[in-house]
Amino acid sequence: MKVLLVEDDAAIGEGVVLGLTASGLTVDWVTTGGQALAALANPAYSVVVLDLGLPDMDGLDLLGRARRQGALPPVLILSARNQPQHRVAGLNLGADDYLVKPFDFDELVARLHALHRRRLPSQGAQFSLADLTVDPLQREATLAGTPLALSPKEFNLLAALIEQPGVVRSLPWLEDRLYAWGEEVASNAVQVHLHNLRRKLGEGWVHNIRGVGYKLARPPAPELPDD
Amino acid sequence: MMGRLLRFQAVSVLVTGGLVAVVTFWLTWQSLNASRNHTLEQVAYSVVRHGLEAEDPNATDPPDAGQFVSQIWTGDGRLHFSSTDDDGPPRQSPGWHRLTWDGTDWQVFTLVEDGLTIQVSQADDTRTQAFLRTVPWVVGLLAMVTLLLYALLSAAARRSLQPLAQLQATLGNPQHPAQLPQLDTQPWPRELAPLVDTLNNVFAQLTHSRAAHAHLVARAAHEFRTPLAALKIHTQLLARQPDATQQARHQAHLLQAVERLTRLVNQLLKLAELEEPDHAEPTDTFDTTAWLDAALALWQPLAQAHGVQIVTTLEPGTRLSGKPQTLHAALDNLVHNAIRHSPPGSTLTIRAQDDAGHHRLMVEDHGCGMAPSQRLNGGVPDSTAPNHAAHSERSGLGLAIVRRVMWLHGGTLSLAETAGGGLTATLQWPRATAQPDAPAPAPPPPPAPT
Repeated sequence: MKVLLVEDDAAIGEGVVLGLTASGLTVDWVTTGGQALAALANPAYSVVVLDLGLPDMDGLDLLGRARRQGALPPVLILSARNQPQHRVAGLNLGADDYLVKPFDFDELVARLHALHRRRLPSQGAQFSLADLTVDPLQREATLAGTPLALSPKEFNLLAALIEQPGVVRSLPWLEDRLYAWGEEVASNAVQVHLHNLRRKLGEGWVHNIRGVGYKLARPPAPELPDD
Repeated sequence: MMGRLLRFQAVSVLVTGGLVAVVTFWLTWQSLNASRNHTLEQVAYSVVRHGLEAEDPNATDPPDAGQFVSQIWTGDGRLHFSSTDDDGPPRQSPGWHRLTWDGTDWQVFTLVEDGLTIQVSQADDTRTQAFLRTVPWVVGLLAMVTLLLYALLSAAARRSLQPLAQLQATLGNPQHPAQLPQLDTQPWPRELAPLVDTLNNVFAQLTHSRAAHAHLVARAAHEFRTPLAALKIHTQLLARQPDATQQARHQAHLLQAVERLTRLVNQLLKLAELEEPDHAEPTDTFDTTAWLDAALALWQPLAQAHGVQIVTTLEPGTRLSGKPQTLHAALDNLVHNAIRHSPPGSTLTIRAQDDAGHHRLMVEDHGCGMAPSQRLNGGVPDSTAPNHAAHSERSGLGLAIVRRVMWLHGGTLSLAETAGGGLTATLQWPRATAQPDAPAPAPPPPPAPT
């Protein structure tokens, strides 16, 4: 899951980035409304965390402009304002959730996952395909009940693919989901992770649609031996 | 109040009644004496008119027998007639006399006519008894009048004070316990209208003051939440972070958050100090260059940390007058705000001017500026707007301190857009009246991080 953080306070911004990254999320951090509008042109974000007190524009104005600009991922407002009228104004203007500072970090992570799940066809806490199960919050993946030993990037890759099984994801889309701004990415990094994931899952799970991208699909049933 | 008024009325009525009684008795006594004296004269002249022949020793006594003593002396001094069994009071010279005879005081009128001396006398006891017979009537009447007057005055007082009782009931039972009433001016008597107007003005000022106080508390709470959030995030992450380098980053943020909270607490304390009614730092005229240089030394570390350069522009020989430490508190908040909102590499300019009897201190930055509506409102965001949370980072305790300092100096804070973008805050206050020059005072020491 990739998060766009819009927060002008350095201490909070850096803390949220460090904490979400440690929780396995990919985070891009911007400090102004203008930067946020530019970043939202990228459709890779699963959730937006939005502070209201931005230096160049009101966070709620940003929300309205982003909604008019096009499809907007779920938005969680992170604000020091805790009065009901502020929450109501934020939710009425299109935010999906509202969290008051100071907040519990685990609650923030849980709410982000919940917002992300809400947009997906499967809205359970876990994603499943056949006997493959992925729990993004616990960061656990099992195949036929056996835990898979995945690196953080491999886990994120699997989570990105299993969110909507059968949907083909391009390499740039996967790269956007896996990496934040400023991370050094080798040209074939995603393919390396895909290769490792295929090896750990076994044949038939990750399919390459030539020239388009990759998708996760139920492996074909093994052919019964002829008697 | 009602009891005191009634007691005052009762005492007034009693004193008035007493005075009226005394005057009445005195006038009655005077009238009685005049009447009796006139009677004495009439009796004497009657004897003269009717002559001695008219005196009939066998005649029955008139109704007033015993009240007067009539005596007649012939020309040779022989007592010809006396209405008493004895000789009666001694003969007097013509005219009025007071004398004591037979142990009693007498009023005597003596007339000499045609060789005869006619003398008519009356004992004071007789007069006093006649007078005392009127006393119960006069006292009774006065008592009745007094009681009637007291009852009427009490009723009038109760009726007149009824609006005050209504006013008290209205003030004592507001529609909402936390709400100050606004009284209608119509139902009150004309005499109470100024009081009601004054009360309404006081309530309006109190309401405004309470709203400002509530707004300030809300702003303070809002400003505390941001460093508290940073404190909470980094404390939680620090406990989970095994890497020493990452731990050091969290610790650095924790320290920064604590310093921000300390500054906020110091701002609150400064504001409370400025709000005290007996806040009285003496007014000085001081060398602005030395004053600003000392303050610059305090601001430079923060400016360098943000990559902001501070430039001062002073007219030569500028000397400011006012409360130097209080003014420093105002400028310190403006400069801190400007540094925090200036982009790295930008310049922050402080100008000091002194002309036309006014001082001006200006802080110009090239940061993100402030929303026009908030700028025109002296930095106070429009609380009626649903999104007024934005653009309010500069509207907290710092600007509240600045506004208070300017209020103490009889000056103003104005905010404008800097040419090319940013915010220019201008402090303007009138030059203080002539005071002996003082050396440049040192600004207060920076708050010690705890």
